[in-house]
Amino acid sequence: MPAAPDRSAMPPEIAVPAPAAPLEELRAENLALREELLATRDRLIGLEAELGQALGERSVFERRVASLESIVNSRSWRFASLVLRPYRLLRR
Amino acid sequence: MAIAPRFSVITPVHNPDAAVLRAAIRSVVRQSYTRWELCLVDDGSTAPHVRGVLEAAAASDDRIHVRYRPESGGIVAASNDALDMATGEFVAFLDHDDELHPEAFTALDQAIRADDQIDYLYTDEDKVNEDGVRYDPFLKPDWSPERFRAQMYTCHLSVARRALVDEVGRFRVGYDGAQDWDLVLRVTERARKVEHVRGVYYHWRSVATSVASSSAAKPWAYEAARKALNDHLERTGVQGIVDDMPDTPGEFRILPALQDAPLVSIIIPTVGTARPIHFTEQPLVVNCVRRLVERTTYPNYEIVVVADAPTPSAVLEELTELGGDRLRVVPFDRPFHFSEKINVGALHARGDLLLLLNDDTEVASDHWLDSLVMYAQLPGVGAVGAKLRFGDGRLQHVGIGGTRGAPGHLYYGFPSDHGGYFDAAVLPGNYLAVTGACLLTPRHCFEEVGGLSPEFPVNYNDVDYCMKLHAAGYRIVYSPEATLWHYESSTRESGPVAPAELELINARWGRLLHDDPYNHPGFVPGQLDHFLPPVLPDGTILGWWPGDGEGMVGGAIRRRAGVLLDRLRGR
Repeated sequence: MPAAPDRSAMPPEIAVPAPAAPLEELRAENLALREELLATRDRLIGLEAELGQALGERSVFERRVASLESIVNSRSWRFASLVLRPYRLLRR
Repeated sequence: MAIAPRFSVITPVHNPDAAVLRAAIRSVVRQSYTRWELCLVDDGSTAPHVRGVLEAAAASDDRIHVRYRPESGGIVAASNDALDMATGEFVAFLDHDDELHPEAFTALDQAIRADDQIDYLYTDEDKVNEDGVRYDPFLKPDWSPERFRAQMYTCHLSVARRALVDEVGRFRVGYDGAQDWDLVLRVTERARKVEHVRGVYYHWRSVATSVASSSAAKPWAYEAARKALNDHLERTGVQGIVDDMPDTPGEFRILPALQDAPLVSIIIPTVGTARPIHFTEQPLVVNCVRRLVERTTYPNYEIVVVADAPTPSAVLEELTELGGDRLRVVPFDRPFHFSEKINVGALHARGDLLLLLNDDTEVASDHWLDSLVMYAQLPGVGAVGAKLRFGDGRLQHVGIGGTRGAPGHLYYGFPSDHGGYFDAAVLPGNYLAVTGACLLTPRHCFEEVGGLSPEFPVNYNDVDYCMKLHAAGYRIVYSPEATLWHYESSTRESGPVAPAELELINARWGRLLHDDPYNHPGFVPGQLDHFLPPVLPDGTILGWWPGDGEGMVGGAIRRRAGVLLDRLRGR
């Protein structure tokens, strides 16, 4: 078996610190962090989907508003409103 | 047809309210068109007022005929009895509590006289509540056989050539509740031509227990509908099975049950671009092929990757590893040209079916390819498209329509659960075009129309291709069961469409793009979201029709003028 290296002889910039915890603990921590990372990623995807839903709904409303504006500004609508005005007044 | 047709109105009667029965009869009597007869069959009504109303009606007009069944035999028996009484060339189906628009037969007559091949016609419809207020207009697409398998959308007003109704065996016992869907399925299978007459000519009365007011009002009707659809699939050789739509009772989806699995060549053009997909940086084409191989249940396919010269070799190696024997790489060393790349890929493809697939897509349902193949194998189908969604779930593609000379995606950017107008986004149907991001087409169609046109290097090549198919008499189908993610325009710089491409597509297909057969002119003009113009606050009905398309009022004036001119000319 080779002799353990003399740590005091190594230059300080490459000195390897002694592990603060046993290897098994580090593996468990690594696993937990990976799980957390995946869970966070899933949460992000969920949030992205929620954002997509909200953006989609906004899109519906925006297009609805654009539809209404195009109707109100159309010549046929203005003409029909004008022609039917007496009728509307009569109905009221 | 030289002589104006006679319409026989078929109306089975069973214990209706006196006022609504009178209104139904009155709506026929008040038709501006006069060649009709009303065949009323009382199906053993127990309400004492019914006989009185029917007798009074028969006495008031010799075109009204009444027959009484001693006991109730159900709607099928009563309708068939009414068909026995009919003498007209066409039969029209009117429920005992609904109403026709006064111009209904005039509009139908004009359509029939314009084309003597027509065997079945349907109109748009709306609902009318107990206070007589009309609402919920259903402005329908032109004849869409794929949608009709999922939804009885032609419903009211339906008119069929009487000889054909007799030929197919009239209404069938055992299909009560869906007897009309069953009959129209059989009629349209043999009809020479089906015509959609645009205009709300039928008012469906909505009362507490009617199908019009509640989709859960007649559960037995759904069972009968399932049976009628299964019969239809068997008769027409559709390799699928009928399944209930999860959220919309009374509508169905056809799930693939393929007996044949022809080779599908999946052509994927790529340049090997990488970008984050769900927060992980990766080459798009690798993600596309990996998910395709992992999820696709369809057994017989090959993958033809058409790779631009700059595609990294590591990407190609990874693809070869993922695809194995199924995958081949075809090099492409010219500037980006989508149409050319697809045409080159098609030359190297061995399958009878060609699937155009963008590398920025990702398969999202296992049976996606089975569903596309099921439709592509039907006679008359030229291309099939899928439901595509952005990475965040929003709708990217549920069919392409035309409006004011420009093609556009329907419900683009709407939330993933948006069902569309009368469930159009969640039901299969026919459209002017589907996107080339995922498009399955039979090879013979591809060759017949000369593949993708090289005049469209970036945009509209898919629309142009579908238009060419449409012009050659093929149908374009959208299948919502085939779902994919689409990380759109990741492979090239996205930007506005080049004016030259828009000009060219309009010059070639302007007529269709201005008058899309599947996009009713009654919707807000210039938009593809199927929004209806609002009714004026005082309920003025013209509010539905202020568009540039022919409206109810304009149409009625034009038709009446046509009738007057005909009379003046002595026809």
